[in-house]
Parts: sequence; structure tokens; C-alpha cells
Amino acid sequence: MAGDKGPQADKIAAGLTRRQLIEIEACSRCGECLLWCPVFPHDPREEISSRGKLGRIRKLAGGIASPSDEAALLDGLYACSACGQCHVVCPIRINTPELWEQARLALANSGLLQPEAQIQQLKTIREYDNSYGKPRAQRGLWAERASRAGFFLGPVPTWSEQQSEVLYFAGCTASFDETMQPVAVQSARLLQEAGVRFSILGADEPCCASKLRRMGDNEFRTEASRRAEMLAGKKVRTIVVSCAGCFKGLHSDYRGILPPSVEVLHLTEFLWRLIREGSLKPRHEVPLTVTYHDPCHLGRHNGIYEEPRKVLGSIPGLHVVEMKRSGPFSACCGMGGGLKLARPDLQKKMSAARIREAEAAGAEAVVTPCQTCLMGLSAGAAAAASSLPVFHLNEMLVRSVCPEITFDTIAAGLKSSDGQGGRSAP
Amino acid sequence: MGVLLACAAYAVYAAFICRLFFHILLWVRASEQAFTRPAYAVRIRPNTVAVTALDLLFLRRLFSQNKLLWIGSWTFHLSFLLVFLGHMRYFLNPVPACITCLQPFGLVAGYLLPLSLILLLILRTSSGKNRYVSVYNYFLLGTALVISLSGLGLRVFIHPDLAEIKAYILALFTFRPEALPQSIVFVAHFSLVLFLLPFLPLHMVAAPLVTLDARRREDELRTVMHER
Repeated sequence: MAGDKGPQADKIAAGLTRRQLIEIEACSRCGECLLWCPVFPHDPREEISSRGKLGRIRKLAGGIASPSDEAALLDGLYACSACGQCHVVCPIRINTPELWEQARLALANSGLLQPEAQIQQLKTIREYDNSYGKPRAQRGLWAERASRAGFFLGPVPTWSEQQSEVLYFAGCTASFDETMQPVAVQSARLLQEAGVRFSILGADEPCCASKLRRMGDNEFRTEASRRAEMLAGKKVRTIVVSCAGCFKGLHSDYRGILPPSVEVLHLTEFLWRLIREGSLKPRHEVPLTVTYHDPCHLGRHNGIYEEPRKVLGSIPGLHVVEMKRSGPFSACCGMGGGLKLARPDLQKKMSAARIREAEAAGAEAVVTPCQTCLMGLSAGAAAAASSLPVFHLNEMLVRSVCPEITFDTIAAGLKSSDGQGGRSAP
Repeated sequence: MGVLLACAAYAVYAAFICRLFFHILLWVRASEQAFTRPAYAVRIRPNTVAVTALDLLFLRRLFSQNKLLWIGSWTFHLSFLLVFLGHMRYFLNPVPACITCLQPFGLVAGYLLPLSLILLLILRTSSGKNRYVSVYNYFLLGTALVISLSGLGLRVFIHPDLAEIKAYILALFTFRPEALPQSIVFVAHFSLVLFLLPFLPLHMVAAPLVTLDARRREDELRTVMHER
């Protein structure tokens, strides 16, 4: 079995944990992962499936891999959104998402190159502290512009202006992507509507760096520790995160790094808490039939399935129908794990397939609580030539609580606010 | 021919032991935690072990996903276990009472084993999914099916000299190989088992550890989730 070890074998084996080396032997080759994999229908090759990837990792660790095995493994590992569906359906329950991340790390350390687009993305994050390659000073502009446009009930203070126990963490996408900034604005406004005393970090908000972990970067732990130290120093009690990717980062990847006294909640968890306590009251009817798309990082990776549905269920007039695949079996939109960078063609096909599933469910719109999924599904609707609208969960709640600040209103308002002499980026 | 088969048997056993040894060495050498998350480490509770045992005994994850596949898979594993235990009477002398007691169940399992393999093959080939079944799957299922059918044939139709077979097996295990038994079907049956052994996945060894770890992680997640 051992044979002559290839040049990478020792490094691959050393890069995996003992548990993971046992896991790669635990595969019974049943193929359930392949039946459920959201990527496989669009690229039906064995190396795309978990079974195929595990087989290649076994060969690499055992020192019997050929160069074609290495190439196939690289192909399969990076054509994966790390959605965790294979873990959910695996009869033995192999922890595949962590295995893929660790294998990416081990491969990168052994000198096997990852896709160029991912290398560039990681370089950008390290250089600019965000995945958009924009100056850090621009990070808090969404709040300034929204404040000027009158979208808030009062000022949204930075932590240095008001040291509060609750911190709203907007994340890179909602901070820098102009098309997604309404998500951050609506999140802050909903917190204000509920009377929550909170602050934001503004220009001091770091990138959560979880993409470093997703794409197998060696620096993740160092970067995460630095950020955790900064957050812990602020004596914050609760961090509310509106991005599922950042939530996975701060909540799961920072486990053991961030002090346990800091509570990390996804926005939907916090909103449900506020609704349940009666602080936030959905009042206006929203007569719409929607279907809920579970973000992988929220659902499968962190077990948050109920809270977003409870939030939607609290909105008068809103009817929620489930897609054929929902909850733990929800099909991934393809935006995770760096797949969009490595294989944008696959991401489009995956999100288009998800949109068609939503149409088949009889929904008038798709709702998701993650801005990254929102971007992916919107691209999917365009790829599927579908007129089905895709909304952030905030939009549904806003229509019921404060209908004057819909997503489109904010997007237009921020644009004009910018045009009226908003602080430009250095 | 007898010597050749005996040599093959020793080579297969040696390879199997080397394979296990190699993996254990790899596991021992590996770092305990290349990526540590120590702060929320949750102790494994007896309840977690019990739930894991039920997961493994009843293949509960598969049951929730695909009932037909579960029937095939569970029947295969159970009947394989019973047939394996039933075969112990050829390897042990004297035969323990518990093995003797299992013989009627082993007989029923002998019929169920090929049936479950046929069901698994049908389900996998009729799923309609592109390349759901790999060449390796076909190889494993096909070889196991031929072995189980030849075993059933030996038991039901051929009735070879069992004393002769047992003497041959015991001699093989005590490194005093004897002449091959007369039955050609037995020789084929035994040869196929030797042929299949190196290709068997190690999931029977690794699955309990992996499933237990998955359950432990769920406990850990419950500990850090704030709303439950």
C-alpha cells in the first residue's frame, strides 16, 4: 500500500490532522455524496465528488498518487463550494468541509499551486484588509451616506464615539459593494427600530479573514488572532453579523481564538430575539409568497435553520413555501469556498438551478439572509432568464416595520448622497 | 495448486497487516490538531456514545435520506456480519457455543446477502444519475455477489466435505498447509475472498471514530449556540 512516497505525500499527510487521516479511510465509497453534491450535476466527473476527492487524498497521503491524481485533486478541491452537503448526507458523517479546507492548506504548503484568482483574492485581503481592494477608510461610508440621506432614526455611532455592548459587524460585501450597502443600512435601521443601543466599527472594522481559511491560507490563524484581540479589547458583549460568511468566520473559525465571553450572533438570530421580546414589531402586511434559501454557512455549518424562518413567519401576510431541497439539504448557490473565483461558470449554473427550484416551489420571490447568496442568486436569476426577484431577509422585515426604506430606495438614496458630495475615497 | 493458494493467502494476510500497520503509523505520526479549537472542547458523554452506536448499528443517516437504499445497505451489513460469524466455525476448534447458536441465523443471512447485493446493484444502476456508481463500486459489489452466491451454492447444492475444508483452513492458519480440498467451487470461493480482501475499504475500522467525532461536534455546537 505504501509504495514509494511522492514528493508531496509527507507534507500532505503532515498537513492533515490525525482525525482527518482516519476520516479519509472512513469513506465506504457508497456515492451518496455524489447524488447530493450541488456541483456534480454541472460537472459530472468523479474528482468533483467527495468520493473522488477522498480517493485522491488517500493516494497522496499514502504516497501512491500519480501527477494526474494531483491534478485531479486540485481540480476537484477548487471546484468545490465547501457547502457541506456531502457531510450532511454521508452515512459515516465525514467532516468534509474542514477536510477540504485543511487539504487546501496542506496542498498550498506542499507547493501545489491554487487557482490564480484565489491567490489574487488572498493577496488583496492581506494588503487591503478587505476582499474588494478598497482603502480601509471607505469601510464606514455606507453609514455616513445613509445618515445624510435620512435613512436612520438617529446617528449610527462608531465604537469610538459610543462604546456599546452590541456591535454591528457589516462585513466587506455590505460595506464596500455599492449594490449590497442597503443590507447594512437596513440592518442598522432595524436595530434602531428595536431600540438597540449599538455601534459599528466604521473604518476600524477588519475583514473577518475567514476567506483565508476557506481558501487554505497559512496566515489565517495569525490574522484571526490579531482581529480577535482587537475585538476582545473593545469589551463588546455581542457581535451581530449580517453576512453568513463572516458569521461562520467569527462564530466558528474564531472558536478558541475569540474569548467565550463574546457572543457572536447572526442578524436573524438577534432579530428573532428582538421580535420575541416585543422590541421589534412587524406591523404592515407584506402580501407575498416567498421561499427561503438557507445559506450553507448559516444552516449546514452552524445549524441555524429556524430563526430566519421564525422571523419571516412573524411578518403579517407573508407566506413561506419550502423548496424541494431545504434546511440541511438546501442546494448551494455556489458562492462559497472560493468557487466563484476558481470556476465562475459552475457558480452561475448552480445558482440558476436554485432559482429554477424556487420557481417550481411556486414562490413569487426568493429570500435569503446573506448578502453573498443574494448576489449569487441574483446572478443565477439572470443566467436562468428568470424574472423571479431575490430579496435579502431584511427587505421583508423592513417592508413590515419601516416600509419607507426599501432596498431600492436606499440604493437610489446612497447614490444621490454620494453624488451630493459624500466623502470620496482617498 | 495447494501451495500456490497457501502462498497467496499468506501474501494477502501479510499485505493486509502491513496496510493496517502503515495506516496506524501514519495516524500516530500525524499532528493531533494541525488547526486547534481548544476553548470549547466538550467531553464525550455516555449519551453521545450511545447515539453514535445507534447511528452505526442502524445506519440512521442513510435511513433519513433513502429508505430503499437503507434496506439494501442495512441488510447487506447485517447479513455479512452474520455470515462472517457463521464462518468462524471453520476457523475455531472447538467451536464456541455462541458461534453454534448463530448458525440458523447465518443460514438465513446466507440467502439475504446476495439478495441485498442485487438490490444495491439495481438501486445504484437505476438512479439515473450520471456515473453515480464507480468502477470500484461495480468491482466490490460484483465480486461480493459472486462470493456470496458461490458460498450459498456450496451450502445448498454442492455439499462439499466440510471436515476436509475445516482441516485445510486450520492447517493454513497454523502454517502447515495441506492439500487443497476436492471442491472446485470452494477453491474458487476461497480464492475470490483472498482476491477481494486487499481492496476492502477500511471504513469498518474508521467509521466508529468518525461518527463519534461528528456527534461530539454537534454537542460542541449546541454548547456555543446561544438560543438553545
